[in-house]
Amino acid sequence: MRYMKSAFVACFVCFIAFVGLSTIAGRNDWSPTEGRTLNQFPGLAYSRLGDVAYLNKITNAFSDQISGRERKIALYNDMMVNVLGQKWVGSVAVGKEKQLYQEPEVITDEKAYEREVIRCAEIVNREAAKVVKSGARFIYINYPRKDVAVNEFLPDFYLDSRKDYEKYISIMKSHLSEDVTFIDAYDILKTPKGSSASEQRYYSNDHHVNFQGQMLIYQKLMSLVQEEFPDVRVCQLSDFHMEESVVNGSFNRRLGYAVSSREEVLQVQPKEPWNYVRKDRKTAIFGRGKDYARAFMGGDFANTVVVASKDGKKGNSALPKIFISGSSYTNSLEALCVGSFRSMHSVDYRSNKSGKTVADYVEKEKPDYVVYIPNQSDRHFSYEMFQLHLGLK
Amino acid sequence: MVFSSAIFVFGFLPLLLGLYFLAAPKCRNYILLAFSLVFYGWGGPAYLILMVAVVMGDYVFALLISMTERERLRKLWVVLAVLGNLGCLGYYKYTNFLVENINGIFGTSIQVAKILLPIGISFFTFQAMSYVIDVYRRDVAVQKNPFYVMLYVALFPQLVAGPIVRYKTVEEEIISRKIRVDDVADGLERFIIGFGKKIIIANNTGAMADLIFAMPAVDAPLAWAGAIAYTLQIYFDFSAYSDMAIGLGRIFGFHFDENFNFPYVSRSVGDFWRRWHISLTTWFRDYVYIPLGGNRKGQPRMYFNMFVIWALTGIWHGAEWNFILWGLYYFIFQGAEKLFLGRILERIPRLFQHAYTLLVVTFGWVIFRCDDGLGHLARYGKAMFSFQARDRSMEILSGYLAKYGIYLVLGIILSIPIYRHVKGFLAGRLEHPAARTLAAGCGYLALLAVFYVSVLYLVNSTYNPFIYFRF
Repeated sequence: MRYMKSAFVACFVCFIAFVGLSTIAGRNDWSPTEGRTLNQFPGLAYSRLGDVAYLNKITNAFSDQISGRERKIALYNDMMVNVLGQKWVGSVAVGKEKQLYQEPEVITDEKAYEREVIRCAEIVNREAAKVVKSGARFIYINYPRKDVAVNEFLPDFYLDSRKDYEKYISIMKSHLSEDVTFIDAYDILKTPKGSSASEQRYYSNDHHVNFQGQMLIYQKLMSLVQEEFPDVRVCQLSDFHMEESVVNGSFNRRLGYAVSSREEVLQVQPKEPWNYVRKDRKTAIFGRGKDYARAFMGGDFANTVVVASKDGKKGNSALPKIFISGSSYTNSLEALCVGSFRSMHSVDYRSNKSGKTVADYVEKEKPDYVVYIPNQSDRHFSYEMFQLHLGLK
Repeated sequence: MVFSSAIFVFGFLPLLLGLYFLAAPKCRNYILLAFSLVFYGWGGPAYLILMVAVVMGDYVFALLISMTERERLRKLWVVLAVLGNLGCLGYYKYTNFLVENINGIFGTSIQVAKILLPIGISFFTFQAMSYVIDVYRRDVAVQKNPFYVMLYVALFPQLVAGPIVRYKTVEEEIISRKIRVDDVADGLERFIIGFGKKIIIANNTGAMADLIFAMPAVDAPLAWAGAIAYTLQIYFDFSAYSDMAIGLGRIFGFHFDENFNFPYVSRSVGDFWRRWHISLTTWFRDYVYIPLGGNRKGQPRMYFNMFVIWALTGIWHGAEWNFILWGLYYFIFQGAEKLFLGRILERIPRLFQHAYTLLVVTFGWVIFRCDDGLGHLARYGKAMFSFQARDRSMEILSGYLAKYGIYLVLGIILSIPIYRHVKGFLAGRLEHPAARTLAAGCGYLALLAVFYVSVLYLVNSTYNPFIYFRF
């Protein structure tokens, strides 16, 4: 028995010592699963040993640099999903047919919810008035969260969020001024009842709208543009070569790829090459890569400026100009817009720290259309996001 | 530093184990003391000085008491020591509360800077105070080595959240103790159990409780679910800390007394308090209740003494009205049990005794939890007993159960002494040494698996300190 106890103690001590030593040696910068930068050990400074901030840095680094971190996260998620059969792990819900969702948003204070929607509408109205004064049309597109639009595959426990979304849209619509052209993408992205998992307009393991869904949004947008620019070119799905692959979606990434995914359309290329000059960087607008950001525009950038041209150098002055403010939701829409506009400038205020508001950009650049997409993946809406994507924060 | 953090488990602990077991026996206390001071100072080096000052003050008072036989002088020293400890505790823990209430009641505007609470102050002052009182009572001999007194109070396993260890318990072990592989293995077993309880059950039931208690409006199903989740969280959080403390103490050769004895299987409120935070209850019993006369001076005096004890128990937990209310709530139930309820309980089936106790305790934790104003407590309590459910609450609840249900079930199962029964059962049945060794081997493998799974949870979690750190 004593040998058994000694072996137990030895195993435990060796394990913690090994993990401890390899943790101290760790120099990982990035956690792909969590999508965040990891804390690093600070340099040794004896003079700072009495400083709480310094000690906290060491504690945080120890936690972040722990040996085999990504493997442990993957193992944890695998255990939760595939061994314990959990349908809600961390911030991800596992639906039917391997559809993954953001965890449900629980609205507990309905009056506060209403007040927040009205606050959002008020700042949109204020900024839209400035945009309209500068001669542009202000189009606000609202993307529903995936659980609202793709609700037939939700796990049984999932809160039916359509009511909350409908309420939000109804209050929003009734408070928006005439300066705002409002598009509720729900009507566009919702598939008919009984549609299969592969017919949905969101990626199965990601919060983004897929290429087919974005094409519909783009076409809706272009129908508005055609009211003033009837000759503008509108792309169709048939204009593209589409390639299916397994998407490294954010939900599956958060689960450490514990749920196997099917192949979906991710990489697309126009059948006829598009002439454009990308001013901000040399990245292709339709790229390669197994995740959404790499497949469209090459990532989320503070500023993306693309000028379309007939010969690759000069713009076509007969075409309108568009300015888009949003987050990664807009990436594939931006790529599609390149084919129809003289210039496309998109701003992602999560990275853009210029201090300029949307109205400031519009006043300077005089676009014909301003597309505003304030959505995020974890909530139906939030005042902070509305502020952020108007450049007010 | 927190036991359930990566830096403790994979940094502090292996380093300490290595140095401690490789060092010469005479150096071990100093290594333990040095590491204990680092452990305490890690969360706020500024308060390390305060803690050392408190302990050294008590060391000096104990020495002064032991140096004289004059009773009045001994009493003077002990009173000064107690006042010093309580003054320190009062200043750091209750000044802001007192000033806020004076301003609120009298409309004054006395300005006091926000005083931050040193971690574990309620624990280390009580422990240090008990040493001086025990020396005064001649229950223990004075310890002339200041490092040993420091080690007794500052010993890192029990320093910040108990159990409140009496000097008598560790007196001999501080001076001389043997390292036995049995102790180390048993200590590790206890540590791993505590680690798992905290990381797997307490943190997850706590996450559910946090979600529900943060809701601006709840109805009966959600309110009860939140109360049950918190009831499980606080037990698994605090008892896990005690398990880890007792386990770590054992690894280093100290045998601390138990602090919990499956309180949720109690059959009365009195029974519950004999099983919950035993070291605090016995502290108040030995140092306050009995000196006040206990139950030896007639019934009215006994109820008064009980009232004092419960008011103190409440306020010891925190400078908020809800804690005082929580203490008095238990005074009412324990008083009622002594008066008449106890006799009724004896006559009803055991199931109802358990149900009564759990109901009282669960609501007690709601009072304890609502420390952000009595308005929150009133709203929450009203929701619990309104027996009304909104349309969506069952939907919300089923979502939470999908995520946290497994931890609630695990918590409920492990709240009963099933592990102890299984161990006892196997020990009784397995007579052949080989079978016993095999069973022990399987047990240790299971423990290592629990530890590894807990580490997986730890890597996936955010910072989650123990509830009792704030006391």
